[in-house]
Amino acid sequence: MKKSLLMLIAVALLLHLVSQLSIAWARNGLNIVVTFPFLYNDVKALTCRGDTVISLVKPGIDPHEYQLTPSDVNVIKEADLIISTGHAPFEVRIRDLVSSEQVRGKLVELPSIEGVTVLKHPQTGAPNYHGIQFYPQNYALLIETIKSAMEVLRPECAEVYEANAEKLLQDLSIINSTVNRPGKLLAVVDLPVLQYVAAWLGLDVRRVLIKEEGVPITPQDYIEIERLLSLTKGAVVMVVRGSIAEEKLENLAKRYGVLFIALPNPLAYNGTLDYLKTVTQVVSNMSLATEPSFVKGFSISTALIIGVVIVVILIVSAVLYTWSRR
Amino acid sequence: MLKNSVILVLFIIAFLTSLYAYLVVPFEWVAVFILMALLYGFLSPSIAARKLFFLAIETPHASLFAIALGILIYRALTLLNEFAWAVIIGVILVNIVGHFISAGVDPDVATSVFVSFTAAGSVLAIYYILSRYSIQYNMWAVVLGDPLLVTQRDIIILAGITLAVVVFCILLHDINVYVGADPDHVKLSLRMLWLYDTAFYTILTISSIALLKLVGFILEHILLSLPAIIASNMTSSSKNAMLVSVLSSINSSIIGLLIAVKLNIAPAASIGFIALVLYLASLVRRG
Repeated sequence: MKKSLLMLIAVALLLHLVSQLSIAWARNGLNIVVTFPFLYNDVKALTCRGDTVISLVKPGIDPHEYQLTPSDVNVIKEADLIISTGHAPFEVRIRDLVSSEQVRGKLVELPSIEGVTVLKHPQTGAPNYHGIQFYPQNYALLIETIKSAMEVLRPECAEVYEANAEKLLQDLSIINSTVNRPGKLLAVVDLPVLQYVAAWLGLDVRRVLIKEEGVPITPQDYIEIERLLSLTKGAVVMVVRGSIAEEKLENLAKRYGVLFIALPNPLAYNGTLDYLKTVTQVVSNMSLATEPSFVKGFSISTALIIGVVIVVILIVSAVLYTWSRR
Repeated sequence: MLKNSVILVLFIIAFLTSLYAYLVVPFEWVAVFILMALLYGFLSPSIAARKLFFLAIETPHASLFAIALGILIYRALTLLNEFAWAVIIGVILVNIVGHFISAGVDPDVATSVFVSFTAAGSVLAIYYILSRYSIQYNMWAVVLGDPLLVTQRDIIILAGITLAVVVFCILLHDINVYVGADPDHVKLSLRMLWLYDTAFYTILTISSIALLKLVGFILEHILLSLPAIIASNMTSSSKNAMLVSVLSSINSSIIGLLIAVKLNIAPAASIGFIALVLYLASLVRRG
């Protein structure tokens, strides 16, 4: 009986020791925080055993409207490495925390990486910081930079990081070589994030309908897009599926018979490479939106004109009727 | 009608600017701005006649809250759609506060409590939307307005709502004027006054919710109140006030649109400024 009890205690102690060792092993790994969800899978694919990756913003949420919570700040303070796209308001806050040494981790900001191509917004001329990593050369530089940072922080896993990075870059190379590029065509996009995707596909983005996230469109932008599509043979309209401008731009593409590409929202993705694979699949199936159907330059159907005119006539008639009765 | 020089001038300006807008900008825009102007132009004098400016100014707050809450309810229940829930919630809220006022509660107190509730509720509901479903919903469009992205389906819906509002405002204009001028007398002589009140609060709420995405939360405050104030500065007749309100509403919308095209700015801003200019002009005329 005594012997059995001793054995039980010994097993319990052994189990406790093993669990403590596994926790210690896990603590030896890197704590990595990514700001945007579409960085998560890529960084996760680089990791060595024991490393953990946390995405502050979950897929489906727009990071441009995200605010850091107190628990987020705790997570950031625990991080060894923070990967940021460096443009959303909460990312600027993280930069401030790092600058003021309230956060000990190393901060990697995509736009600050040497050699990264930051495109100029076609209308404003300002640098476009939305979706920089969707340009494959930038993605490759990002992966190299993260890998180097991880090697410095955890040298014992350097070989693993090197091999994982190589695998990611090979996958990127395959995507890059198989993507169906429409050719050097003029393009109109609905959101700034698509400028980099379009540039990757070899398109020349001339207009972004919604200049910045949440900013209302202005009349000249729309009129200029309509003029561009009406005058250009072989243009492309590219939108984020479900965006507020999708229907409007799709109608324009149909009217002028230009190529229309609706891509999924990158913010719904967990990885940049996953998104680029999806883009490759979408553009491999693309075709002309519809037959062109010009209506004397007006962007409306005849049925709608008749409907609106009838409504106006009814309203005016009602006013005149009431007027005459008084 | 044409004896009145103000109405004639406003009519000529409205006609010429609308014709010019028809020729130079996409027809969807002209259609949506004229329909919007008609809606607010007819609704505003009814609000003024009932002396319900405080409630009208509060309605966009209720609409913002109703839209935000409608999205959350729809996502939780996946029943009906976001707009239907927003209308249900908004109509209930505005009717509650409206009937409280009709029952004798001090309007300042009732609206203050109501604004506090809807403003705090909006912040909470919008926070949940932004932290859960933000890529599916553009809350900035609701606050700032985005009339240039109007679709053909939106125009048809707007035309239907405008028609309903115009018919309602014309048919009930006399009652609205009497309710504002001598509410006690109307209460004694009209048995179903609560029904007229409910209909008015309902139409006010539906108009506000439907147009929030087009004109935005901020501009809606101006468009619900200024046309009638301009009209009251320009004419003393209730008959002419409706017409002046409609014409000044059309002028501010179409001229605002044309200025927005010329200066390449958001039309919601230019419409607000033109409405303000018309108001100042009406003050000068009143002397």
